[in-house]
Amino acid sequence: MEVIIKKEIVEEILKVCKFELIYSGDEDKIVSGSVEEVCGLWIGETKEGKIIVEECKMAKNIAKSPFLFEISPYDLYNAYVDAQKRGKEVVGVFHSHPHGSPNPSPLDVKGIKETGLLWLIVGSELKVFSYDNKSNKIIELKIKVK
Amino acid sequence: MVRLKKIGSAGHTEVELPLDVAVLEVEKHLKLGGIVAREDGTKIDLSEIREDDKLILIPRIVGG
Repeated sequence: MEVIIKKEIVEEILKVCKFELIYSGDEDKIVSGSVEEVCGLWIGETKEGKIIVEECKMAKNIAKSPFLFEISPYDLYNAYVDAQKRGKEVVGVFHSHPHGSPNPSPLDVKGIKETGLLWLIVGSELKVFSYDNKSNKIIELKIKVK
Repeated sequence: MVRLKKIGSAGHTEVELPLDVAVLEVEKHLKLGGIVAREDGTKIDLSEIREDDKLILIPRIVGG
């Protein structure tokens, strides 16, 4: 399966997830990474085996943590209702890994399996994952930026 | 019958279930940390579910 996403959306996500420089307090070290994980939702549609991402919506991270995220269920509900009114759907979730790796953590793997949604991780690069029912595995999907 | 629409799972799963089965499904969903609302957006408790309700199951989305 392929994920098609507008260039503007990728740019917007990169902007909100950007790494900030944080001084560690040690004069010789500068640590990169934002203070908290940033998260949001993808709105779009599924057509002929392709998932087309048309919008991203920021969501509140109620975990307020540099290592965890939990999307506000109210933001998710509002995004869902809003999308439905326009004939769209919530197709995925994105969040940042302030410490770099774009690979899913064990908690991400659980979330991907349980929700069945696309799972974009923004770290040192962008990666999208989904759960494949047939193989019972988490697979990385190709991203096509248009 | 109660109609349950679950967000996620490659599109949204929509099923119609008898009241007692629907209540069990909703209970399972709540135990996983999800929330349940009517289609008009009002939140609903397990004890308030009635025949002909149309409910949306919103998952808890957590990662790290």
